[in-house]
Amino acid sequence: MAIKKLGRRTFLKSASFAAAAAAATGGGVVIGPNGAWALALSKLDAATGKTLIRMARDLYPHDQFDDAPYAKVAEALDQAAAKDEALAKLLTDGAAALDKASGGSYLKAKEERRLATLVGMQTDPFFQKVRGTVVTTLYNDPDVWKKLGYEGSSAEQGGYISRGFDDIDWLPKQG
Amino acid sequence: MAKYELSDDSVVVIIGSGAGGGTLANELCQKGIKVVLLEAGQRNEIEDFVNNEWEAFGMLSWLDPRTTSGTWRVHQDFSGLPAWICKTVGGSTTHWAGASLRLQEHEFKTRTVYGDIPGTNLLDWPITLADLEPYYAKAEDKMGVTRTNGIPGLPGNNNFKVMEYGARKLGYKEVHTGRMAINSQPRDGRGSCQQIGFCFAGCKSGAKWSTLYTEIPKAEATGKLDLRPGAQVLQINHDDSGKASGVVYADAEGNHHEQKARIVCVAGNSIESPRLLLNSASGKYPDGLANSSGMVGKNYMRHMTASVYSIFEKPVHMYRGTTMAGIVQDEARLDPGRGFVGGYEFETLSLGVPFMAAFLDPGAWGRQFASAMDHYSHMAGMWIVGEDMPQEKNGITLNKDVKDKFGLPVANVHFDDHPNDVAMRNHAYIQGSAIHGAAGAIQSFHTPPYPSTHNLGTNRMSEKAKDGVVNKHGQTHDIKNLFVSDGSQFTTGGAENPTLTIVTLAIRQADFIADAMAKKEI
Repeated sequence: MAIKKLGRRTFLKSASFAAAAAAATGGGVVIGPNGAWALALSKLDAATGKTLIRMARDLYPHDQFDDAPYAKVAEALDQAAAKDEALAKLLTDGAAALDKASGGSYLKAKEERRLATLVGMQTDPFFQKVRGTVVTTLYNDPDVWKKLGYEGSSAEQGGYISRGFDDIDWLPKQG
Repeated sequence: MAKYELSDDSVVVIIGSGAGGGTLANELCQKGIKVVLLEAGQRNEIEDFVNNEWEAFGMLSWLDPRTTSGTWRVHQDFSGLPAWICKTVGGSTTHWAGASLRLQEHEFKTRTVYGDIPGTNLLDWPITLADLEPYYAKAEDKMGVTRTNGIPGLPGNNNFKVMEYGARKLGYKEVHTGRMAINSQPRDGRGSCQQIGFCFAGCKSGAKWSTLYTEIPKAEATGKLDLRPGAQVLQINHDDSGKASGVVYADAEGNHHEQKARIVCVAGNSIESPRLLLNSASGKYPDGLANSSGMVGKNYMRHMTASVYSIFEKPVHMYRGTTMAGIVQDEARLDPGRGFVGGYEFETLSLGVPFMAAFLDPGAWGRQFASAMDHYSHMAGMWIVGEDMPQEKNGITLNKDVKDKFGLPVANVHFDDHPNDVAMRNHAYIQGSAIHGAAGAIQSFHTPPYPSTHNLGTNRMSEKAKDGVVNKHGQTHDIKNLFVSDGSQFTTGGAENPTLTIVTLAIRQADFIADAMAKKEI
């Protein structure tokens, strides 16, 4: 995975790795807030990447998540775009259309404006592609599962037979 | 394992290795009959199964192209995926939840009991519950169904306890952990349920009955079974007299072969079985095989389904443990006073986060949806499954505009809800929410139907040849050595999960076929 979680001390070094990796393949680099992560895109430019990350969060906003799981959505879209020129154009044009419909910059627009922009586009192929990818990427991320309280694979742990399948303790006594 | 020649015209060819085909294969092999079992999917074993929803879906599901039409919401949300069924050795018995309920007596004679409901094509089955009872008993024993044969029920998980509490508070009486083909104690060489969850992803412990690791290896042990995975049947051939003579299939490399046969049994489910009969049209049978009635592909039923998911103040962790070991049966009764005919069951259901995101409210986005997902660990869930009405316009047709990789027209699945289905669903939404509400739910979601898991009726059983495709033994009215051995035989659907009845019919059909072969009738 090109997206890397970075400790602050390693940020500069790793960010330059990411930049070098991206330079080799022609895509942009997106650096997360405080350098917590870096996303090296292989096809899309950084502006498109940033817009897609914001759009992914606007579609499925979880205040408890930082941007890293949303950046993975942009990464999934970028990887698909690298193999599909038509998709790359759909995403690049779509991000530009978001900017235009938001009065110049989707990223700088207020939430209300951004949501109005999305509502106006929700039947477009661009919107549908991004929304579908968020559903199958964001909610398929084990880091997200942990935050939502889903424990994932259980067979290798012996199932839940001795790990709380029936541990509910708050139902009143039936009377 | 046996290996028969392609030219061996003494074999019984069975198409599909799921509940119907896999069971029939074993039953015939146990009687010493030579069987070639053709399965379109690969042989994935228990060790291949993964506790990961999307990964398992990709491994087990039938993902070849299909199209949809009609007013059902599946057409809108999942237009290329009408059904959530499997293409793998064991068929959908790898994926099923294990609920094993007998049909009720009145459900075999709905035309008589419900009357002439406008817009429906209701018909009485040519058999009764009494006819099937001895075979139901054999099926329950074979599958190790809990609450039969002295087998204890499964323990209730958190999701069940929530449903049970609410249901009893509302006054429902028939509330328990179900009749499940999942071992609650070791049986038949398989261990007991480890409360893993992921029943839909293939049971990693083998506690859940599946033909993959029960019927099929037992059939192999007889030395009579020639199982060919990766063999997709393209056409059924017939001789000049009109009898089925063999089948053409593509192997995993795409090479075509013709396997000769004494008898052909179609068990590819209610979408692929009629598609195969229609795709086998010939000069003699221009409308497809066994289709003199015009009923092949018609009267498609998918059960009235829906789900209710609710959020509670405190954690539930509904995904822990057996997915469907919980049932409320009171609404399955015959009671037209509720504003609809037929009945429905509440059964516990959970989805993991990946599938919950895809299915809770398909297409939805925004803060409200994300907020629901934020409460995932506090959710309880139930599935609603009830009898839907057979309608002649609902069904499988060949979509000549879309071809599969073999160049054959794919199945189009058309479905419109009948007003009776809608009335039942609305009733069930209200009652289901009330159950969770009585247990303290803060908010409930009314989740629309998933892609169909219960696909029924498209080669239905009928007394008279003009009303359906097969007789009371699943033998086609038109061609005496051509049988249908899956859920497409169902004349009507009942309120109950269909697998037990499919297995029951397969056991009964095996007796009929063996007897007819011995008497040289076929």
